[in-house]
Amino acid sequence: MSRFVDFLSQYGPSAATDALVDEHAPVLVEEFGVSRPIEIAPPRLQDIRDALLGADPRTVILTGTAGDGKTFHLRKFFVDLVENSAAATAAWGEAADRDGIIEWDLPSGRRLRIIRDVSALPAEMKLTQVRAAAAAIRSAQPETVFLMAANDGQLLDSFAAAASDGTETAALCLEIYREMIEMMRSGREHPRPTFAFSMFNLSRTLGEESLDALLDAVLDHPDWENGCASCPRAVDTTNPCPIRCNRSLLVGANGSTAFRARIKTLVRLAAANDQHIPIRYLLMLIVNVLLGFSQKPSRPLLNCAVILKAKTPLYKYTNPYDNACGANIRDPEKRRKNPFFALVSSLGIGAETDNEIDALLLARDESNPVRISLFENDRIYGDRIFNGPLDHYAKRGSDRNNGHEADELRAALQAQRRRLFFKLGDQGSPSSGLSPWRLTVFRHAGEYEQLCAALKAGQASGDALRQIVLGINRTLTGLMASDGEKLWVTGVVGRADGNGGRLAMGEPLGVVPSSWARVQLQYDANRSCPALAVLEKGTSRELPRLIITPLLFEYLKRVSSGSLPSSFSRQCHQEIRHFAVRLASALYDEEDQETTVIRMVDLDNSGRLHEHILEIGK
Amino acid sequence: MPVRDKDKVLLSRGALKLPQGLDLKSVKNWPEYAIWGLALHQEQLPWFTLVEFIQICADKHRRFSSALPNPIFDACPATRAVDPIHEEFPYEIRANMLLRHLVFRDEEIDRIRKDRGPMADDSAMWASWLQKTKEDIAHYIPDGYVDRVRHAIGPEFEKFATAVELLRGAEVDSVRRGRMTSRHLLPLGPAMLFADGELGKDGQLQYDRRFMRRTGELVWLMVNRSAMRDTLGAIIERRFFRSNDVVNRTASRLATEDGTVQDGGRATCRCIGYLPMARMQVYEDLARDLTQVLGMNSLHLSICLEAAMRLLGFHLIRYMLQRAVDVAGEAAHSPFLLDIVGTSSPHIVRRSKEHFLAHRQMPDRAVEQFFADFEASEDWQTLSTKKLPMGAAQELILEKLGYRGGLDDIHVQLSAARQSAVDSALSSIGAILPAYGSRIGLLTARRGVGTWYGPNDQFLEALVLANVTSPMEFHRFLRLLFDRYRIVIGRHEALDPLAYGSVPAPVQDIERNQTRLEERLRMLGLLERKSDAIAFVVNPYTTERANVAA
Repeated sequence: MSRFVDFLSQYGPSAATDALVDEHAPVLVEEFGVSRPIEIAPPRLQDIRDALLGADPRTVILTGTAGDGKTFHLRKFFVDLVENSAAATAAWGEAADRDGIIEWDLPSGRRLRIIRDVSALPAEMKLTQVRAAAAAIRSAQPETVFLMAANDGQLLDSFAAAASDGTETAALCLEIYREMIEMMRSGREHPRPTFAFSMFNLSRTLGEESLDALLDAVLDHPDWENGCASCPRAVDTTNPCPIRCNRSLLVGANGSTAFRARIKTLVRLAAANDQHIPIRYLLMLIVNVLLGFSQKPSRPLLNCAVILKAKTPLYKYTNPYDNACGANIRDPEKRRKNPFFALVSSLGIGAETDNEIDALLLARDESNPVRISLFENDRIYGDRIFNGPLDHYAKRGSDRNNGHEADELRAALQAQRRRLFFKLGDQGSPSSGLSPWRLTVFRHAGEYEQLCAALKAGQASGDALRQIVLGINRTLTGLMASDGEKLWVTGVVGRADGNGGRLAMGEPLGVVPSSWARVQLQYDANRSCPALAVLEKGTSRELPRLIITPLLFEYLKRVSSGSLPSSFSRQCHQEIRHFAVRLASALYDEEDQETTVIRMVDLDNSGRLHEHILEIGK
Repeated sequence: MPVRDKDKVLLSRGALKLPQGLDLKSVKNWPEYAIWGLALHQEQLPWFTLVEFIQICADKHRRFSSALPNPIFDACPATRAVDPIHEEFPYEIRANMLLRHLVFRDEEIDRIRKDRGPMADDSAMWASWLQKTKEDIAHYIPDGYVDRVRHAIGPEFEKFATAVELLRGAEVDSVRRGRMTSRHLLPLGPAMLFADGELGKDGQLQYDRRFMRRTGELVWLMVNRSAMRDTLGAIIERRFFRSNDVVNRTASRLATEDGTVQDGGRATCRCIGYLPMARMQVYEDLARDLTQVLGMNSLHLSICLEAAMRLLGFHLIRYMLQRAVDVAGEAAHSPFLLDIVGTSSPHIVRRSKEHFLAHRQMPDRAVEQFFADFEASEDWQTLSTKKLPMGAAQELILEKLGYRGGLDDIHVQLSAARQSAVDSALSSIGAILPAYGSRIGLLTARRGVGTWYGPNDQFLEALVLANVTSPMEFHRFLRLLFDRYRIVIGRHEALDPLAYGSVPAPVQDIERNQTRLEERLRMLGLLERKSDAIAFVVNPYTTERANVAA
């Protein structure tokens, strides 16, 4: 019986939030007798050190929600600063009686004030501290600099509250408040030069390395072996322990790292859609993949006792691919709370069908090399759990419409689609050419990733630009245009909500460099997305851009290939319309120069957009 | 029998006297006009109200001279501390007969365009059009019209056709096919305005009040009495009359010249309507929102107008309710509980529907109170001392309330007058709520369920445009909607003692309502969520989206 498994389940979906609070981590380690806690090197520690330990320290604010590691960062930084672990622990402990405020000298001789949680301060104290911090932020040589942590909403509220009494400091707080809003919106960590502070949002700074480190911290934890040493199931090869089996699948022990890579891709996709997945939810995900259990809704996680007691194998209920989708968490509200599971569900993984893949699964053609490649490596979660439902249905299911067999098969099919989503290679397995994204609503994700990679490497975007332009033209004009050579920024004369804007706001923009103004795809590093940028010949002024999120990319690709995706079209349509309005006013509305040309857009015989020009003199 | 002497009618408490030149000859059931003015009219829908408002602005602008302080609004005698009096002036609206014909009536242009062969000759097409049109409306076409137009926009007939097509696309409320002389364009400038009336036998326009029933005049008066008068005047002058939008310019190329015989005589409105109260908060709210949305210079005027129409409609509903509350002597009307969840959760819909029905009935209580005041007046109280009280009562009711009843017992007479006034107020004043509410997208109506406050996307966008200039935290936005409009969506505002002080529906429903609003706004590109704890409402036309959530 592994205590470590019990320890892990503290981080699972039904865990109390206690496990996520930094102060509680050592308690858990103690309680479960674990050799070391699950933690990764605090990813922003060096940034904090850079800001505070130099000759000219500046205030640092850490934001993020519970479990993002705010206190963890503070504590690690503080322990390093004090250089005496016992003294640090003592000072840290005592601070609890002083509202979590600690003061210490910095190497530069300045005083550092650490505030562990701004929102936990009593109201009066909060105002005092926020105003003191504001003064430090605006002072060139502050005596005291701050290192403080808060949830971002409460941080803004505290500054807004401190800004309300009409004093000079209050005005300062208001300025900082506004600057913080801009920083939060754009994801900037540093303010304009007139302010001296940095703000690190721990919810959104999780890089690929941190995710890998987190996976390693769980999967390679030394206590795995200790707990299992005496267990008979640990060496059973016919009916291996499901927990150990899931672990080896996630590790990629059989040489296939697709599972792990796909999880990372999903996290990246989420970030590109501005859905940053906080670390506690990733930890929950990893634990759920390993321990998820769907036999009893009241008990979403496995433990050793359940496995040892079971008379028949439980693989149907321990499927790690189902677990990665949160399928063992029955309450949809609860499931959607984890943004990773919410993303998986919005992608429709499991529910989305693909004729070719479904046929492949159902035909059970033993001579089909593609099927073999997809099944032979998965002894447990492939045919072993799929054959039963398939046989039952083949024998009895077809003569009853809504029989139990049909439901069973449907569920088993969904499980297989989930498995294939995580297993198929990015470019499709060499032997199959199947893309895993065919099993999602986001069918062009593979192309999207390629586009991002190409732009990041400074390579040409290929045909993507023309397709994006075509999609925008169709969206704005409501006409089934066929050309993506020119971007027509159109709108309606009358009401703004009308579809089909036939009135062009100005001369179209080209995709080739010779145009008077050209559109181009660029990679936006801040947002990890491609962006459609407009460059006007002879000027370098900043023009509105359209961030091509995965969602928008999918929409434009589908529109350009002739379909209209209903589920997310409204949102994308609005986004494009807003962009067109902003671009038109930046590009065409010269203050003193009145438009003298009216351009009505129409399709010519070859389906290309052309304009009727009407010159209206002054 | 209508009002005979307007100086003797009973005014609402604290109301201004009527303008001298105002004609009350056709007014029956005076109380509703005394309370809400002349006239708040449910049949004049928001777009037409906005058009009428701009028509007045256009005439003010036409008469403007540098001696005047404001190009659109007047020095306001109604709000001065000493001896306030109601504004009073006439105004004119151009008939614009030829353009009206081209846009709303002509069928020749499309026919010629369709029939033209590959070798079509432009001059021949023009000639054909001119000949046909002259058979019909020769008196509207000035000499040399064709040459002038060909010179202005190009010789090809196709250009002419395109220009007309463009203008036809700018019609407001185009689903309402009323008489040709009551159709209107988006008022992007003075050339796109048309007086509303009936076409006489002589082909001249007889200005009437069938569709333009002075509700736009009330809007002008409200703004004129607000603190935003100067700011908004400058904005309207710039955007409608100085910037000369290219579509307006197209209209002026095709139209005859304003003031010429062919254009048709200008319609004259002899006196502006009646707005009883000198000051109300709702005037300020209306003017502020119009200033905000019309003042977004980087946004094309047509988009601004769309939002302005919705806000204007909403403020007129608020005006109706607020006057009812004030006259009835009540504290406040119940909040606008906006349902975002829909019928899947019946509690909010049910409560919101109750509010709607109650609001719809508000004029009833106001009229009742108006009569109660009348009954307590010395005039009425001393009736019984008169020799022929029934006759005197009949006279008094006619004089004060514009209602003629039979020679019955005086109390019977009074209740008959009261009943008539209540019925009338409910069908014309109360009805503004469903009529305007559905047009501006404030209401949802579903067969079998009823009508309630369920906003559509455009209404939500208008609220954002009017209130968000730089990114605003979502919870502050919700608070602002309550503070400014008494709109309740989330739990926090519901708990405000000025709203309910408790939750008006199960708490999880109210919380879901707020979450659903957030999702709706995000779908519309009006909101960015940055973390569990923070989301910003943004004005998408002025703010580049920082990030876009899935």
